[in-house]
Amino acid sequence: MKCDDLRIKISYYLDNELPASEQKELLEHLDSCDTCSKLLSDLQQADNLVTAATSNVRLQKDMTLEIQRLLPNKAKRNTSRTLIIAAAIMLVVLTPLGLGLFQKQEPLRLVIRGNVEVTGNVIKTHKGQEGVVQLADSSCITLKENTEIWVERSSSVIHMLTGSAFFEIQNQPQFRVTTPVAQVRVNGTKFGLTLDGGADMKVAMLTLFVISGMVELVNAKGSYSFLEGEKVFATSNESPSKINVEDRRALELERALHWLARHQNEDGSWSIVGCIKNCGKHGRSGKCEPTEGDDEYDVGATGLVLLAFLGAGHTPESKYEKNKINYGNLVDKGLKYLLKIQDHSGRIGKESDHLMYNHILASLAITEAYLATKDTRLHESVDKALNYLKKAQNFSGDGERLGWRYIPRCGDNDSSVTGWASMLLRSASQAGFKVEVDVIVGIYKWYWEATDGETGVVGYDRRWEPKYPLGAVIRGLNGKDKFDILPAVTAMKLVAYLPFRTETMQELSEKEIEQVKKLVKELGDDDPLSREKARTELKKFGPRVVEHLKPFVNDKDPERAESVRSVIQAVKVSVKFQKDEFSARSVAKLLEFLPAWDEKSREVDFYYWLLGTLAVHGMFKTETPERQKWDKAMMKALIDSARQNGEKDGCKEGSWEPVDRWSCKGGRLAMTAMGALILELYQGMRVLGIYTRDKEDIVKLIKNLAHNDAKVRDETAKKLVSIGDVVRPYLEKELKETNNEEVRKACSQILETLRKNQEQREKLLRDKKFIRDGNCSTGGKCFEETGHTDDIKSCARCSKEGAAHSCCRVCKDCAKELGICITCRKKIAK
Amino acid sequence: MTRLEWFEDLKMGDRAAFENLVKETQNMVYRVIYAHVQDRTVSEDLTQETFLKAWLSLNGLKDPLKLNGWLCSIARHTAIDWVRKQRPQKTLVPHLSADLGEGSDDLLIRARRVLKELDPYEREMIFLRYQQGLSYKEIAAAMEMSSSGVGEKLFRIRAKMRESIKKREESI
Repeated sequence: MKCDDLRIKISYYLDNELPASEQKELLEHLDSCDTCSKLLSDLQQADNLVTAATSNVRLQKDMTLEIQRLLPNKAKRNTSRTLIIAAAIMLVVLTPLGLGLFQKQEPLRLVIRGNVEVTGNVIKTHKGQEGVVQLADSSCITLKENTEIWVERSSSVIHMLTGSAFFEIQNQPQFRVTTPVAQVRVNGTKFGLTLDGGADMKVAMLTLFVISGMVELVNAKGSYSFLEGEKVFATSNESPSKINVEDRRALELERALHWLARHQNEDGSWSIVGCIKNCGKHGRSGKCEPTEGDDEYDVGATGLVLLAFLGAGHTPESKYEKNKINYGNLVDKGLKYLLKIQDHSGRIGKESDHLMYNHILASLAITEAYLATKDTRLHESVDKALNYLKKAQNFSGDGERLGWRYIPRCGDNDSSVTGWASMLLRSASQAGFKVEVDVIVGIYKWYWEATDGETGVVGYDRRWEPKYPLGAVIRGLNGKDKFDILPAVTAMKLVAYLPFRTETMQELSEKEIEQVKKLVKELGDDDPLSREKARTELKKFGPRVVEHLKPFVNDKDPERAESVRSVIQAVKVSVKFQKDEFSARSVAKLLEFLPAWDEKSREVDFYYWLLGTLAVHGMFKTETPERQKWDKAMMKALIDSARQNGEKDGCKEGSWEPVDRWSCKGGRLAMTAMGALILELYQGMRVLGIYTRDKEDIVKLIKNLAHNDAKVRDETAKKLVSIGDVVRPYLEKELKETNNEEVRKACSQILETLRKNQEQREKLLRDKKFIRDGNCSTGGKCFEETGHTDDIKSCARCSKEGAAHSCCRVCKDCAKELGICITCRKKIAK
Repeated sequence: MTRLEWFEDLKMGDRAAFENLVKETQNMVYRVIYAHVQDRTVSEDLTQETFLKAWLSLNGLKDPLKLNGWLCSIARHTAIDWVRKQRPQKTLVPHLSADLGEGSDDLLIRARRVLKELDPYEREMIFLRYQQGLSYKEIAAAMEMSSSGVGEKLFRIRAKMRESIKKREESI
């Protein structure tokens, strides 16, 4: 037997945990092996030392009495209320349905907690109160406010008269819930029930939501079975109707967004811990406790929340209003807050230990808002934020760009921050900002470094190696030595690898070709420093430059030819990082870690779920078995967690309880924002700068324009408009090809609406959006004083070529006409 | 009274049963907290807090076999919450420096320094094993991990302790 195999057994032996059969073998080996024998004695010595060193870690006094004194009086009420229920009376008075099914059993004790009123066998909660009834077999019934139930002696029959309750029922074949509408039969399952209706319950309606297991519903019409994830409306004499998943998703999304809206601070920001201060401001009862989290990330969370609103299509111009909260104003306020806290270097958020998360998420929100509105105020901010991001990027030992970490250019890289940075860069490139190839190649290069080729698993701050139990080098919060971040960063890598649609990947412009020619000339310069500089500049063009360098490979100046060859070589190497054959393995790995709602194990991980969904949808554009597998698990996890969304009309409604793995950082706020983003993804919206809806989806939608049902046609048209300009080319193609007059008409109408929307945006831009409050202190002469140069080709207002200013995007003439200063964008006092 | 009956009473919020629980487990709870905060006074306060939380959430208790795990998890979260709140002030390290106690013995001092350098979960495991005398299975239940995981982890910690002590001996 090898000594290496026995080392751990020595440790087991010292702890008396080694089975007797193996002990003998070990002792025999120890007799014959000096090294192992020495190890045993060393470990024993270390053990003795540890025992001695920890012996003083104990309480200095007995705390029993002290703790007993401190136990709140309230608990007296909490100590048991034991009900022995008189069965005969119950059966006569209370059972409108299924009387014959009940079986008498031994009397059982119930534990009742919370704020409830108990009268005989009736348990009732009032407004703002909540209670828990625990049956003897640990089955639990959580009563929401204004709920009334009567409990049968057998405790396997509950009569529910009004309100809503969640049932977590252990394995009880006889368990029934009877209501004036229908009877619900279950066995080992979780479900929610809500009863609505008049005081006499004559027109009562029941909502059943099956969280897990199977539930049977019996009413006058018949018996129906429902499986987990299904939500049903039922009345007493009609067949129950299912609420479909899409409606449910839309409903949950609306509730989540409204929760976020209710918890915005006065200054436009959102606070992870402090969001609780806003509870009750909008007439909702209760406090959203616990909030969890760390307020260091408030700025990032504000960005994330804004992204959730932007994802759902709420821009500063949005007119949507719910319960007197205008979502457009709310987004506007949030963006203004972020612009206000951006400093001169471009950084958004204070100097802190994890500042890059704050900066990147806030910048991503601003960039997405810019993309949606083309508001020039935001343009300048994104520009500055991108510069800061680029400056914060790490460089490898050989001077090439790599990834990012919590703080700027600290030399360490991590796969999480780097992924967020890639999203910001992707969004910025789509918004028309220049993103250099070497910045993007840095991202590819980092993930190349961090990915284990065999398994496709990505490491967190270094390459993953199979010797780590499950992944990267971060511990789970529950003390499990599990390296929990693994699936999230693997998903993050896949998201970072989604294609960049950047100008920098296209052909060189004429101006750039001129620049390349100039640089090639400099490659023959006598000064080695100039040559080096030219080489670096040429590499920045990326693979596009190769074609333009080829003529110089055998240049008569050997210095130049050599340099050209080295640039081509370097660029080709950088291309290697963009082609990643490990992605398929990575995504297969993700499918081993499917989302599942289990709050006890802290396996709930909205961060991973969001990225995983983005990655899986990015990789599988159509409904492949892999994507279906993920979607099924994801929907189940989200629907399971939806029961967490707080009581109806309470303040918590719409939020998720902070039981997530990262709740200690982002708390209830970030979890709810991410929940909303996941739902948006499934609603086919653009999330975090990524649009995962496949062109086939759009084509399918367009086909629906020929549907027989006018309602479907209208819905489809609305959906297409909400998707936005992306659908334009598909509609134009359809317009050319189809002979169906109806479809042609619908396509033209949608195109017209899209055009009008675009026009409206542009009008807002031209009219007022780029004018700042206050007056220009120099009377409009800032421009001349700063000597700022123009580099934007056309004016955003009059579209005149070659005259616009870089930061406000209008030409001098328009600025004059509008009476604003071209540089500071304030009014010129007349 | 059998243990199961006692447990039933505890679940129902019986004060006497709870008193018993405090008596039995107060040192374990204290050690779990100490592993994270490394300060005696704070650990005592948080021990009280842990039992108060436990009293208020007795309805979360279902399985008598998971009692230790349940209690340790409340203690751990209470401690982690405290540590997190302290972080912005950055007073944690100086505050703790002298706390594990200094002994007259050089080796003992060294061992305590090594202990301080371990991560809180490792310290927690050490206290549960060496001072509470819990078996692998019991530690596994308390720390929500597998028994084999405990065995491997303890072996790694032991090796780490041995190496650190050796290094310190060599450097002196």
